[in-house]
Amino acid sequence: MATIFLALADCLDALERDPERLEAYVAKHLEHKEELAPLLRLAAALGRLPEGAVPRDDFVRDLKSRLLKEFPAKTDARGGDGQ
Amino acid sequence: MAKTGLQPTKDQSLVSRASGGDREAFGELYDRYVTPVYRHMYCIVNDRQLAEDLTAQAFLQALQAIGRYEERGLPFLAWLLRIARNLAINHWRVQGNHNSSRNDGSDRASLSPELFCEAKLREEEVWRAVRSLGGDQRQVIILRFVDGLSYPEVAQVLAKSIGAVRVIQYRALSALRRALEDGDLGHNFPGSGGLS
Repeated sequence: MATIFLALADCLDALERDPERLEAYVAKHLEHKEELAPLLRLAAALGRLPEGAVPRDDFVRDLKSRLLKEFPAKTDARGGDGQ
Repeated sequence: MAKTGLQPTKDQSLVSRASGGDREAFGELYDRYVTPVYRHMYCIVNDRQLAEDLTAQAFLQALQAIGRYEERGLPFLAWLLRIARNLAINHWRVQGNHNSSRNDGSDRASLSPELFCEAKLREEEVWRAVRSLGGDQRQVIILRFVDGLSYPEVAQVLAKSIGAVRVIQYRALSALRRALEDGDLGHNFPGSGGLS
């Protein structure tokens, strides 16, 4: 028997690949069906992005212009990083 | 689920060129990833201006540090999102506000009233609930459902095991469900229907 964590991950993968067959995948995890169904509905809702989640065209353009202007001066092999 | 997708082979070539001083290569990386980085930031902070500021900082840091980036199993987008994550954490630390939203709803105020249909308000409620989650839970939801990263990729960004990511994902969705139920949306949030 799959844990609820794995069952949820399995169904979310299925939702991504083929949303039409989701019920068939949920049926593979009958022991978790009651808990999985509302979580999967919620996951489907999360696929719709909130208002404002797309950047403004002028922001994208202006930032690129600024970055490319700073490019030669800023690139530095000794700089900080996110790793 | 949003699909950003990681393209490590092409990225690696662009990063090598950018590290060597090729401005166009850096521009191409920017074109490829500015939207996912901004989207990630917006979903965390819920404020357009702040998301733009943090996105700009993330790319400026990337510009400074690109010479030190080595793939070593960490795709370029995951590296960018790790920078973004650190910036967001620092921002909340400085603000003394780990609960997000200095401007919850300000963008909404600029929209015409007719856009505030019931469904839109429910979506807002879902995202408000996401922003109320704790750090790792919120990050996993955004990395998985907004950025479209796989479990191994999320694990790389958060420096956790794949199993831990799956557990956090389950706990995050369960916490969201409870929050929405408490908020009168539980059995009626977007996407309901179909399964029962």
